[in-house]
Amino acid sequence: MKQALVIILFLTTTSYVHAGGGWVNGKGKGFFKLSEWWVVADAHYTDTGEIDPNVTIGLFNTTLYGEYGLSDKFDVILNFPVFSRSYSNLIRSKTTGDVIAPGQSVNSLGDAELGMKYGWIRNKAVVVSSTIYFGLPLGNDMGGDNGTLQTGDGEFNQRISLDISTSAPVGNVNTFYSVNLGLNNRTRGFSDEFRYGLETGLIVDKKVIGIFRLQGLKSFKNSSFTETNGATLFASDTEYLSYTFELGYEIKERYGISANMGKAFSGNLIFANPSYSIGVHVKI
Amino acid sequence: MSILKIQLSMKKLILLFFVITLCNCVGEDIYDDFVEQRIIVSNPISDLKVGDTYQFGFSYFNNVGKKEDVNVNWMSSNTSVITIDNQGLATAVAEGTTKITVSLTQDENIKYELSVNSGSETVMMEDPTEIVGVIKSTSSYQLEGDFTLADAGHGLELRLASNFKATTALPGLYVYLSNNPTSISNAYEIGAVTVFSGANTMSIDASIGIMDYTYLLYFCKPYNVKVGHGKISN
Repeated sequence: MKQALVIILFLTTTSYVHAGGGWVNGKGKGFFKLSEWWVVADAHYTDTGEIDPNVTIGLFNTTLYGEYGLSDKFDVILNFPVFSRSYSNLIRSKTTGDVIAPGQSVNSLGDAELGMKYGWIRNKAVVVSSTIYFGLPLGNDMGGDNGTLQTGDGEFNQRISLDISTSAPVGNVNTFYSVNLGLNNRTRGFSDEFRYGLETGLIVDKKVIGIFRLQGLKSFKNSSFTETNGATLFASDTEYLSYTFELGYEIKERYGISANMGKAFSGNLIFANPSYSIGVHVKI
Repeated sequence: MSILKIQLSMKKLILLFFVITLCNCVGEDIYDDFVEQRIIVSNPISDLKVGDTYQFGFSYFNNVGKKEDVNVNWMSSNTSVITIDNQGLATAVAEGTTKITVSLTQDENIKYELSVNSGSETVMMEDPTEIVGVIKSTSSYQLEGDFTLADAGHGLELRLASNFKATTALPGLYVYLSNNPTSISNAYEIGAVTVFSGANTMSIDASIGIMDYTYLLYFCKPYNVKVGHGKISN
């Protein structure tokens, strides 16, 4: 069971939106994950919640993620997109073949997060932890000719989350369940956010893992902007309710691979296309 | 052996990362920006004094609404009333009515017809001093209201009525004058929208004529996304 919980830790870590679980690693233990996450969006949810087209925008993050237990109750977390690329497509006239607007791209580091996680209740049927994340705006928030290409939001944010998790064997399958609540305090005039998530998964033979995740974000709409700053992953008044399917396979006790696909059911001012991720993790 | 397999798997995965990274090149989006070609007489008259001559001019807009120089043919339906040469120079020879037609040399179906009387005086058809229209959203963003395009003496003004409302949920809402309802590539940029509700006025360069464009366009400029438009018609 313990190994199963470690596997859960690996898999519930995504490269962009970390939901996590209530478990902590324990002193001297942890893991690293290298992942590639991407979205290519030709549509977005508008402020009315409907979907409108847009020039195709791509965002690709190569991310190093690490968790390490400084004590039995205390983990440090680093989520660091070491390479982030954003681009927008060239727009060509169907009638004349002329270029209406040139394509553009920007490469940079992405916005990183440094987190500290504390396990309030461990080694129980229900585990509880809380985490504080400090956003580090290492990405580019005004890339490209018109400032529309972003690999970050340009603001220091502080995010706190509470994670409650439990697991239960069902025959030869281990199942697990998590609830997540969080608040994100954004600076530089961005709206603050309330985040929530539900997660359930199963582990078969300690090898194959399937996860279904629901994640939501509600904006407090307390931005100081006259106009919002787009409908991307970095916008101010973004809201969404999304789902993610994730599959993982433990190749060896220390190594595993995973892949996921996520998409918003509904949203405001955010891409409407699915995102994808593949990753490899190694246990310390 | 199994460690070797793991290492190979990891290498393949990391290689896959690089492949994904390399594949995320800038692509192309194709926009359908077709509009019907049109040609107009740019300085129309309703009457031409018998014995006088008048030089007609024209403007041609291609199938993306861009103004272009082209070869045209001029024709009078009744040469006993008004004659016209291939440069558009008309001469009134007798009283009556005729139809002046300017058409594209390459496609005579692209044409403009103007009814002209020949009589005791020459009467210019003046441009209107103002044109009213209605702005409508063509997206799911809020955009609505009445507008007036008016000659303010020192140039045109775009006067938005008290019922004007525009979304603030876009990072850069701009307004344009265009002859293509789907594209701003050959449009005149009036400027960024800074007042999102209620009556307000935007100035337009004095070089722009009130009949030069057929659409008022609202675009999210940074993302090149159309938000709405108003048809300019008198």
